[in-house]
Order: sequence, then structure tokens, then C-alpha cells
Amino acid sequence: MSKEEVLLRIQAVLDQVLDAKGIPRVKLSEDVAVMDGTLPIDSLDLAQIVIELQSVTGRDPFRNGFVEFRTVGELARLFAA
Amino acid sequence: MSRLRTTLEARGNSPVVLREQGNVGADDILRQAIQFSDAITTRGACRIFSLDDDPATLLALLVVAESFPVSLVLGRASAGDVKLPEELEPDVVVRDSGEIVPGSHYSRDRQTGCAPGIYLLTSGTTGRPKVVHQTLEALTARMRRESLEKNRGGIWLLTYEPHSFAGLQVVLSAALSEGALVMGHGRTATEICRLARTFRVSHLSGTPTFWRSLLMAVDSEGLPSLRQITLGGEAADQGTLDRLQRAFPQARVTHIYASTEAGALFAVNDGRAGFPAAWLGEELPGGVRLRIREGMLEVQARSLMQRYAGSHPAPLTEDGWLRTGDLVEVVEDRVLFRGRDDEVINVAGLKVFPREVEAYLLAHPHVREARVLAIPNPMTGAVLGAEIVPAAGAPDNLAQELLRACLRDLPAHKVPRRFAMVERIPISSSWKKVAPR
Repeated sequence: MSKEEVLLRIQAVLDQVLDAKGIPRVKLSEDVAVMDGTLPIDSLDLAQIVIELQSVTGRDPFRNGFVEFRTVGELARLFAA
Repeated sequence: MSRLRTTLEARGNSPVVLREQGNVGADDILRQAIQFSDAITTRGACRIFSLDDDPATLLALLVVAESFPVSLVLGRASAGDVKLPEELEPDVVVRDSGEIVPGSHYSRDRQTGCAPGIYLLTSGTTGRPKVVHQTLEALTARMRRESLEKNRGGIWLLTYEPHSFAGLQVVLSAALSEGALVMGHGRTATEICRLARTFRVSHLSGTPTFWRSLLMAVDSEGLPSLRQITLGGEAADQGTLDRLQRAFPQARVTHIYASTEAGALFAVNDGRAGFPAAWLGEELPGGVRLRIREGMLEVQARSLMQRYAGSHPAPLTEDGWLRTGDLVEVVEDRVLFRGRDDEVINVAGLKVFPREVEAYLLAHPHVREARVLAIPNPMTGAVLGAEIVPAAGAPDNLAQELLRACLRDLPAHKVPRRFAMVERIPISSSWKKVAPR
């Protein structure tokens, strides 16, 4: 899965979460920070995005421990082939 | 006490076990009991291990167990390779169709070394099964106290393994209340439905998981002969209780709290999940007392297990209460079951009981069955995932609908973050949901 496809997937899960919470959707871009409060999500929402990416890409970049990522683009690159 | 033998004698040749290939009468069972007695006394045997899962054979052995000082170990055929504690190494083994064979350690000179009574293998899902010592007196205490008269002449259908604690309750209830027991080979809900209709079954007891399977299998004709619906073996959730009462309005719906270790402690008939919080301060029939310590239900009762056989210590507190492993919470006037202490999932440092979330999901009109499991992830240790068997007519976007409902009604850490729609959820031979490992 390319980085662009992974980004689309992240956007789709984020839309699902925000819709379910009744919060207006947010358009993602690569340089948006994931957890600094810019996005209206918490660590459980992020966990939902990560398990979805693990499932659709079949990749597990955290297998050997946590890997730092700060932006949506960095997260996407971890899962892109 | 010789109540079982006396009851069977009084019944003459009336059928006790109903089968499509021919009934078994009370006199057949007593005849078999005499054969067992002869075979056992001539060998000087006192430890009997029964792998036979025929309820008629089981009743014959129970008659022997109430007449002679023998130790009767009950297991199913697949437990034949279970390593029993040395003191219980059987002198004789009863196999299919009542055949008696010597045990591998049999010798006429062997010392007794074990207390007479009934020994049951716990259905422990992990590790070696434990062997619980019970007496026939304790096993029949609750049914004699509360229900023999009321249930007189009922037709009972066995959904449990006959050798299990729950199965024994059904077999003994049917025999002692002068009812009959329907036994079929089918293990599917569809087959059980067919048998229930064929034999006009009035009493049906099963796990909540069993009942949800049955609700999927029953057609519009329903089961009009059902008078008593009993749930046990797992905590009964409100959604399942409500559905049963709607589907079978003519039947009484009871959920029972029982375990191999504790015996049958109490029954709840008011249609609500859990039990009244007022019971915590009271002494219930059978000397049953209940208390909550560190979130866990602890019990005392006359039917409490005598002990584990072998080297397992009994799970009793210093002041003699049994720690049940069931975690409970008082909500207003009710004590609700939240799950087992060995089933807790840690989400972002907070404890979640998957059964509690399953109970929430099962109350949703589009959910037939649900299983909640842990999905590991690097952010929060784990989040919950849910497998869902959708009800007929469920919308295509059920996953999104459930996510929305959960986010609205549950604390964030109890919300399943992935929903997988499945056709079925694995069920064990004892009709319990198989916990994912």
C-alpha cells in the first residue's frame, strides 16, 4: 500500500470516529501533528486508526517496541510499502 | 439418604429417559444399579470412574453411590486420559453402555484413602481440571428445597454434558421430581428445537449462549410446551432475558447462580439481570450467604464443596468464604455480574470486563451474539474489538451504528474499536462462548 493510500485510510477511519462522536470532520494533511491537540482525537481513537492500518496493510511497525511518530505523514510512512 | 432409589422404586416401570430409539424405565435403571453393585462389591472396589455419558447409567451409579461408601468420579469419555489424584485412581472404570473394566491400579488390597461421595471434574478452560468433592445430599439440596413439587412430572431436555455439575442438576431434578429426561444425540440448536417439539419438553436449562443459539433456530411455531426456562453457567444478560420472555411468554424465565465448587446457590425469577442487593445482608435458603470483597462475590453455603481432591487448596478465605472469581458491582438495588477475574482486559491502564460490554451489545436490537476481545496496540496496551453475529434485517452499516451507540453510552475505554461481522462465534461443548486467548 502506497503512502497516499495509507493516508486515505487514515482519513477514512478518522471520519468514522468523528461521525460517530458527532464532531465535524477534519481534512488531514501530512504535516498535521497527531496528538498535540490539533486533531480532536484521544489515544484510544489513535489506537483505532493504528489497528485498522495494521489490519489493512498486514504490517506491524511496532512489533519490536514503540516507534516515534509525530505527524500524520510520519504515521503513514510507517505503514506504507 | 436413599431418596433417589426410593423415588425410582415408587415409579415402577414408568419412563425416566425418553429417546427416539426407545425409553428407559425406572426399573431398567434399578436393575442396572443392582448389576453395578454386584460387580463393585465382588471386586471390593470403592473408587469408580465413570466415562459413560448415558443419563440412565449415571442414575444407576448415583443409586450405588447413595447405597455404598464408594467414591464416584464423573468425567466424560474425552476425560479418560485425565490424570486423577493418586487417592482416586479408579478400581473400576465404567465405559460406554455400562461396561465395567478394572482400573490400571486395581488390586484387592488397596487402601481406601479417599472420602466417599461424588467427585466432579471442573470444566476449567485452562490447565488441568480440578476434582471437586461433593455429596449427593449437597448436589440435590436446592432442588429438594425449592422445586421438586412445583416441577412434578416435567419433561426435561438435557443440553449439558450429563457428567457436568449443571448436567447432574438436570438429571437429578428430572428423576427426583418424577419427571422424564429427553436425551438426543444432536448438539445443534436446531436439533434441540426438534427434540423439544417432538417430546413436548417443559423444562429446558442452558447457558445464555445456548439460549441465544436456540432463539436463532426456533421458528414461528415457537415451543408452546415450555414452562420453565433456566439459564446458568454464565452470567445472564438483560438483553437475553428480555428476548426469551418475549419469545416464550408462557414460560417462567429463571437464572441460576451455581458452580461446581459452590453448588446451586440461588435462583432469580424477576426477569432482571443480576440479583437483589438486599440479599447481601440476608441468609438465603440453604444457609447461603453472599458478600462482596474487593469487587468479588464471596459465598458461604451448606452445599459448598468439601474440598479439592489432590493437592489443590480450596479457594476459601481465612474465615471460610469461597471466592467465586465472579466480579460484581452494586448498581442501585441490584448486584450485577461484570465478568470473571481472569477475563479482565487492561485498556490504557483501566480494567474492562469483556462480559459487561458483551451484555451492552447483546441488548442492541440488531445484535444476535457478541464476543469482545483484546486487540493489542502500542498506544494503549490494548483496545477492545468485538465480533458480532448480526440479527436478520440488520443494516449494512451496523459496525458504524454500534460504534456510535457505544461512544454515546459507554466510557471511552469500554468502546470496541473494531467490529467484525461474523456468521458464528465459537462455542464449547458445554455451550459457553470460547474465550479468545
